[in-house]
Amino acid sequence: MQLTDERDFVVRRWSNLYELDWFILAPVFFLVTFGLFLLKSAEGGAYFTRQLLFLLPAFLLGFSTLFIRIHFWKSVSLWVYLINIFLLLAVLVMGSSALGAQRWINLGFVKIQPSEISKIAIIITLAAWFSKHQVKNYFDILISGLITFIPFILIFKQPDLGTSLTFVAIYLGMAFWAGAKITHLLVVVSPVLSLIFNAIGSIVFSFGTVQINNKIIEITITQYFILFLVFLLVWLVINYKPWKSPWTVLLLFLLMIFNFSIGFIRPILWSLLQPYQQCRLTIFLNPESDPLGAGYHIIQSLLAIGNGGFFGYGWQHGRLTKGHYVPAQHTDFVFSICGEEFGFIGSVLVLCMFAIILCRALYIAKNSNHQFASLLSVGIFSYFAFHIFINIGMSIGIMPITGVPLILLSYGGTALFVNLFSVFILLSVSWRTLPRKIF
Amino acid sequence: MKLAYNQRLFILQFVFLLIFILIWVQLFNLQILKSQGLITEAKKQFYQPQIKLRGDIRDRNGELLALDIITYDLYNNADKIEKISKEKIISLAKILNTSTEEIIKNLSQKKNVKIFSGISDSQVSKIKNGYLSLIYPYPKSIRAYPHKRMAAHVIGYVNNDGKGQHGVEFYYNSLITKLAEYINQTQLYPKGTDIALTIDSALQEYAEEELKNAAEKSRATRGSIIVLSPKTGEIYAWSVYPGFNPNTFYNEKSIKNWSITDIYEPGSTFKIITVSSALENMTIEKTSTFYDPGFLKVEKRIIKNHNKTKPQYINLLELFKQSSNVAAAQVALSMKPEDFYNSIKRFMIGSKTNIDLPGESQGLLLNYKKWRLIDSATTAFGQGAVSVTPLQLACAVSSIANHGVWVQPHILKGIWDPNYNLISETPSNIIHEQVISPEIADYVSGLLKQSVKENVKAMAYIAGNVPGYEIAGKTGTAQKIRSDGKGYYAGHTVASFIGYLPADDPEILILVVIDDPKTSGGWGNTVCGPVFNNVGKVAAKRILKVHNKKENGRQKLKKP
Repeated sequence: MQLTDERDFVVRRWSNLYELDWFILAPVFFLVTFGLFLLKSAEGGAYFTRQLLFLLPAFLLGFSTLFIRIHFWKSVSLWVYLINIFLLLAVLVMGSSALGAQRWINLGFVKIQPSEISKIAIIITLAAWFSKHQVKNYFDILISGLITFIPFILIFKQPDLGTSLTFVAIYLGMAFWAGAKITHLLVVVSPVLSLIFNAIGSIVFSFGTVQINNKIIEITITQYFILFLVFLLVWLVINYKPWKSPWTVLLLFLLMIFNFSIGFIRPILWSLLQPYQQCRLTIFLNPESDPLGAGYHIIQSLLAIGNGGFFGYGWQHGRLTKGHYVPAQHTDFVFSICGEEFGFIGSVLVLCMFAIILCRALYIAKNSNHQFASLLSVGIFSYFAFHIFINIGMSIGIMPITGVPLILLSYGGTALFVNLFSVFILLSVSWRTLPRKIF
Repeated sequence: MKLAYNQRLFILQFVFLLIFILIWVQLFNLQILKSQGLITEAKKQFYQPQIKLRGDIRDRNGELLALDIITYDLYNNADKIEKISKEKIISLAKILNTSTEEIIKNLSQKKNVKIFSGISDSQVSKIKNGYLSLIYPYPKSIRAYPHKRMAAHVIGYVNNDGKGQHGVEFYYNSLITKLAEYINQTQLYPKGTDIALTIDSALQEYAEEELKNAAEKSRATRGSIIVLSPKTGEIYAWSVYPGFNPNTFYNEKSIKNWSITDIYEPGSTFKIITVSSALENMTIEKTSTFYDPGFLKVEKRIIKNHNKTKPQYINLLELFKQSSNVAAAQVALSMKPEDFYNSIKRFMIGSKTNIDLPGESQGLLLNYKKWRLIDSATTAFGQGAVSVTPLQLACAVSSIANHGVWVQPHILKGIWDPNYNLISETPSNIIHEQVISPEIADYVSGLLKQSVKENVKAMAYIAGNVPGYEIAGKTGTAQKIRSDGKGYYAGHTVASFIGYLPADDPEILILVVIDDPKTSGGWGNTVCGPVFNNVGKVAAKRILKVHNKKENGRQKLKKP
């Protein structure tokens, strides 16, 4: 790849505006319009009107980014990062609360949600960082990981599990694109995987019980955990060939011990969570266990989506939607409206639109001759893909409820601004750095 | 480098494809394979009216005190009022007992608007024959109290959200709403558990009538009668004045059961506790006599008797008989404040009785470290460091009646089965506690019996005259403490009488408290005496004769 960081590769003129990437623009227009229809159906129009009011300024802001050279974002990336941290700190100090979390800053006439802005901010920051520092070893992983960790922990404190996990997804995607090997990333996420694998499956060995805070906790390991540890060991041995250096043997040994301990103390960590938190994370596996409590959201969402059948009930005719059986149907569960009113056809159409955008983002990332721009595209790809997967997955009962909005469709002013901003960054990258015409 | 990028791209595409395939498979599963099942599942939500009936509340004999009845709300279902035939509207008006204009006015409103409420089952069955295109009924449960004001403070009421408020409805809300396990829940609406109270309706009704008459006659602000069993702690009757009608709780003002939430200074009735405590602490003896010159000077303040008496030596019997404040003060001063305080505390005064009703006050018992000498002396006749709820006093005295054993009072008798037999008796773990030695309790009981007997004979007492039974009891006429805490209101009293029968083996304890009576000098004897006698007569008849007969009858049936 030819690195042309100082100047955008292709000089565009405004008369060439029709050369914008319609593979992105068309699905986005479709999804935004479709989202408005869904919101109109959701809550009798109150959110529809407000979303519509946000839409024009959001588009204008996005459009104005087309004027800005890609290199500009790289030059201000440090400031973007610092302002981002500042805003997140401001939320913790003086943010206004709703629904048990402190996520908004009240500016008087409008409330902004810095954790949303933070997503695109971290993409710009990481893209700038990785374009200067290729990931070659664990030291690079550590430094870039720290850059991500600071906003991550600030958002985790709000608390906002969904958004903080978005950071992990963005980081993994961009680090991978910047040269990290799969082995690097596997080592980074191995403690998390240890936790998950020691939570599923059946118990094959018990170490007895401990008592903490008057709770008796059984320390166990499961078959999946053992399989994972074996897999990890084999993978690392093949990749690092530890017989060549005693230091590698030691490090490998320490890593395996660390992972084993993490899995080992999983029951204790789990018992530290509040019962309602435990409930939220596991209820999607068996929502019927608490149909009117923790499982209510999932059950109603599944019923609504299943109710839609192949063709759906038609716009404004969803029975569970109109009866307000599905909670948070304008934000987190907006996909249930799509499923009920537009059926399988509508859902697949929406998914196709998302797929086109994501495919195009990867295409741009691959073909851009500008490394910073390429990284931006991958960051936005990771961001969108993660949100789509988690949100729709939670609506259809294959992912835990973590409260992530669906991009371009869910109600939310800040989120709409950030989503459209990201989309226009992608357009800008496509427009300015792709070496040849699209049409 | 290029190759590396291609590999990376491939991996990202793979992850992306995996995600979308997962979503598609699940969508296909939900919207095509499982769709029919989910549609029927969702329909259940639309058509099942979520009505759950509360259990009935009955008295100890099976008399219904509270039940849920189903009424219907009617919602407008008519499309165009002009198209409906005149006859149909007229016949509908006939069913609903209203005018045709009213019907037309309501039907021309928007669709799905509630237009009538409180429609009975029989009316709805007529409506279902051919009028469903105009209106549709929706069931609703309403709590009804057939006896209206009777025992309202004990039962409480159910608010518009279906939640029990006050009384048993609040305290046993979860029990009453818990689906009954013994019924086969196949009827239209699931039903909660039926419970039985220890209340005897006939006695309750009579006591309320008596209390109301007495309170109105003496223009008192409030009053209360508690009839309970000293042996088991069961409450036979509990009337509170002023009462309220739980059917129309939203119009009522005096919903609070003041006789467990509010406290008063008990006055002379407290001398029973004082004398018992002193005997228990062995600072006086059964044969002790006290010099009563008619007044006693304690720390610059003078304690007087309620009437002028000549200086005399009196024993414990005379103390009760004449209700001598001076002698009682001497009895109290013979004890160390700490001992006196601890003895009072053992009678569960200053702590909750833990009756199964909400909102109980724990009364007031000043710590002995804060007592001055005068407090010791005045507490002897219930005007100093102690304030009680009527229930606390009744329970404390019933432990004297019950040979020194304090029993936790309770209102729940048990749970009924469908044939109205008690399934489980009384809540578990009723506290029984020996608070004073049986010998001393019986001795004080004897003194009370003797004093009532002699007073009745000498025509000094109106109270305690229940033909056929010997009564043990004590009058009380307490001065009302000022609300600002500075001394007492002149001329305002709380009149009370506490007594139990039969005196030798008490089955029934009755406490009558009337707050601020304006006639008969406000004396406990004159105001509460007649009420006590009348309630005592009926209580003896209801409890001692009817119930004992019933239980004997039952035992006889079981034997062969």
